[in-house]
Amino acid sequence: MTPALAIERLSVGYRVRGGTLQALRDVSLTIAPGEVVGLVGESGSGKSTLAYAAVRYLAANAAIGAGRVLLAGEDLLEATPQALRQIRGRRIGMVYQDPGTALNPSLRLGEQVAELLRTHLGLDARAAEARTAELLRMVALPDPQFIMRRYPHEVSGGEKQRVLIAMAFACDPDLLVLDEPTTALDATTAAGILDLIRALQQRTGVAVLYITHDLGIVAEIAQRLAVIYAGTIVEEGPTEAVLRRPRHFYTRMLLASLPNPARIAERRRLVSFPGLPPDLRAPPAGCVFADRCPAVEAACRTAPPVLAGDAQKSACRRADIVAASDLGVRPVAAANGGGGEALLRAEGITVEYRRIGILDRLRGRPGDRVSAVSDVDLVLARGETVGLVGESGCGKSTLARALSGLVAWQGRLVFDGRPIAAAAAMDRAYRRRVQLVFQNPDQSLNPRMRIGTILSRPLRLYHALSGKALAREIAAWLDRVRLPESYARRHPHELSGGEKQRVAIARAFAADPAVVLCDEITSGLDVSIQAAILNLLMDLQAARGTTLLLISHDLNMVQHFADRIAVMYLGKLVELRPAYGMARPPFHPYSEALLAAVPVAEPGLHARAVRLHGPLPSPKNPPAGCRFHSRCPRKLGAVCEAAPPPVRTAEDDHWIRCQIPLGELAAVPPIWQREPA
Amino acid sequence: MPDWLRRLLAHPSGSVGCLLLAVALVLAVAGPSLAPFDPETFHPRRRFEGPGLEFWLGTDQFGRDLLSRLLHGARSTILFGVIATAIGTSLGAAVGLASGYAGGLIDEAVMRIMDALLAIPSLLFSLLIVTVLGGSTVNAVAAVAVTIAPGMARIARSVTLSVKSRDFVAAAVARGESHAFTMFREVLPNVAAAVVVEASIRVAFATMVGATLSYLGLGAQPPASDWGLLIAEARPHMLRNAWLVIGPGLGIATITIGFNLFGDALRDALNPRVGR
Repeated sequence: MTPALAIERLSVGYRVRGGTLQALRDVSLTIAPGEVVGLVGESGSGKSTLAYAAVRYLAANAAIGAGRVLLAGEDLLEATPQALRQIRGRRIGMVYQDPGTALNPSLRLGEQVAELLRTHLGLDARAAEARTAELLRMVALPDPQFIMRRYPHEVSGGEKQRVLIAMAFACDPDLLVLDEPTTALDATTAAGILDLIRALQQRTGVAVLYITHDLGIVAEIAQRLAVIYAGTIVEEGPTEAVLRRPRHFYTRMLLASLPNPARIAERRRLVSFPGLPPDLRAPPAGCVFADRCPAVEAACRTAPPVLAGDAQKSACRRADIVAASDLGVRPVAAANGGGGEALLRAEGITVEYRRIGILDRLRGRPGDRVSAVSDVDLVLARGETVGLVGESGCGKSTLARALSGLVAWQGRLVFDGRPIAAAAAMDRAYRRRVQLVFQNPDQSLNPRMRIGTILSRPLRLYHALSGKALAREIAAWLDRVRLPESYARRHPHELSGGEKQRVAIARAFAADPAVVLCDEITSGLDVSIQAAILNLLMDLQAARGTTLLLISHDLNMVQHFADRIAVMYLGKLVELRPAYGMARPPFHPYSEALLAAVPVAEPGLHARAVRLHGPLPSPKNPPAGCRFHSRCPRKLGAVCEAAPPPVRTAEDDHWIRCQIPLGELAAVPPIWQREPA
Repeated sequence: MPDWLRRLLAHPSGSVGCLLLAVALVLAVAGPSLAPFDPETFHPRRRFEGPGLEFWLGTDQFGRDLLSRLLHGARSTILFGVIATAIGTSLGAAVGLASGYAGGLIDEAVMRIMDALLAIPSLLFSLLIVTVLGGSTVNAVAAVAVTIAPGMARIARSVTLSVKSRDFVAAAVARGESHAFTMFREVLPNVAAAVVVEASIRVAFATMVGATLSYLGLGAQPPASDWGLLIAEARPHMLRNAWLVIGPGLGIATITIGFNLFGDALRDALNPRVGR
């Protein structure tokens, strides 16, 4: 049978300053009709280049060196531009990462879908409109007529992605190319999109190339899986076999760098990758992974390995020892738990943003008021790690900014026995003891300063160091975050994302703080680097007894490192619980949905589907009563809309803010079900 | 060689701009010593001569050598543009930086005043100032500087606003840095590139306004040989010897184009994202 897509020995290079970046080298991949193939790789691995090459839509500076791209036997590299236009959108459907940029902001959504139908299927206006409504219903958008008349900015990211999926399926294509379609979305939204893609694929039997960095997503959707690293495919095979018994060290380490939410009780240290991926302007002669591989041999560096094997192919010389090798993974020391002496006690913290237009001011009206954080109580004990989890817009970053005095807040705050009245009362002594690490080091490191200058600031300000002592201390801090001393003379843009974040962490810890607030510090980073950064953070904490607040949208990562987890929804804390018992009910219905939305990279382990309905309400106008009632899958009824939910205490340090009695919350079935092997 | 300089020279308009500016620099530094004649010596019998072997660019109504006058006038013409821009830019950038950093009502007030100044056509504004102060080179420099400042303030302020919203400024505030440090060490270096680029383009404009003022008799005074003044003096005799206008006209055009190309290329060179 002719494969739906066959990529044969494809090489693609980009002309850049200093040579040619060899993004893909000799890559072969086939997708049978009706098959879902997952392509897993990190940023810079060439996975997106492959996605664009599959539709022959490469950047202007790209050059295809060799190879063929066969769509149902027809070579796309030979096709004329007219033929390509017929193929794209018609025979190949595409969905890309950011739904915000994939739609034309000045056209109504209905028009954008209908245009595709008119162009490719030759439907007249009325037929196209009817078919559009049908398609939008197919992607489970509740009111197609309403959505069709909206502009892209008027609907949520999840809804936009559904429209794009509808467009991808519109012409009944032979192949779908999905490039990280859920990465830009919130966890609960992403889980819904993944359900939809799976259901539609099963209904239509389309072949799918699913590109992602997340092994968990691949485990849930793909039958076969290819792992790409530095422009070459290093391992390929049936998903279950690859995940159970990886035959390449890269795959093995990638798996070991991910926490498994279902096995939170058996916490182990996550594997972090040493070194950096190779420079693709001058790719290594031997194995591309040799520099970071724990089992590298001399022979690995000289001859390129061949992707070999029957069903499960691997490009590793030592494929036989991969699965059994111990990567030096050791269990983590038991969590030190809560119950320590309270260091930072926040009570009733509320942050309101106000927007007053000049007209409102003249007329004496109060203007728009958004309460980003509403009445939050949180205690951080000395030396513990608290994870603060919630989706984008829930106010978790605002809380961190309030605690570090960057936004004005109301409420009571006691730090180290000393009450702090307001943001203005946070003096230099307080700021020194409570440090903040920002999400994006590109933003938080001044691009015009050298790393040495950046690190010198806290040392000068708080320790009054100068001259030789200062230089010594800067070098010591670089060493503590495992960066070479020579980096002090570099500018931020000369560092990789992970290295920049290390500098930001060093800057925070150099102040010798008691509390470090980490605001999504790993969310822009690759999986392999996330683990390294969080491990580093834990080492620094262990050495210095620092209290950490880990803020993230990634419940899976956070629960692996935190002692306690706080879950936030629309500015309110809805649950606070110890992390080690994360998989055990009772849960707040929102926490339950977040947990169930975590993709697990363990074959045979399935999460119960807990899906939220509807979009996130605007914080300008939060729902009355329980703020979660508009999306809650366990809503009781009018009582949830009427009164704010009570706090129900399950254990000493576990409470849930919900109308549902604890007994009922505790009686929910387990989130994960293991298939008998 | 620093990275940005290499990028600048590799840029096509950058290399042409640099070449033109190098010529201008040579003229400004060595112009008078290159001149074959004294610029103020009359040659009564050789008036209105066209280009020839002895007087390469010809002579004016008094028989003075045009080439020598051009070479002598280069320094003051070019310096005029550079100095006026430097003063105007520093003034405008300081106002814009402070206003953008302060924000709120102060920012509103300062920027509305700048908008009002911007609304006056720049040549008219310069004329107004020089008329009040009296015509002289120093007053013309001041007038052009004041004219340039509001535009620079707008640019510096808008860049300051965008830099201020970046997290490294929030980090400085959270660290408890002083306002002076945050403004001058964290914000200013990030604003500087945009301001420098804009300034290099404004030099061309300042040179032109300076020449115009001289032409109108409000800048340099005879017997100086500023290029604008040369054109003004040649105007009645334009039809008898067109070279008297073409020579200094080409000179001003070259400087203007040189700085414009240089500024364009500098903007690209200083933005590391374009280069990579």
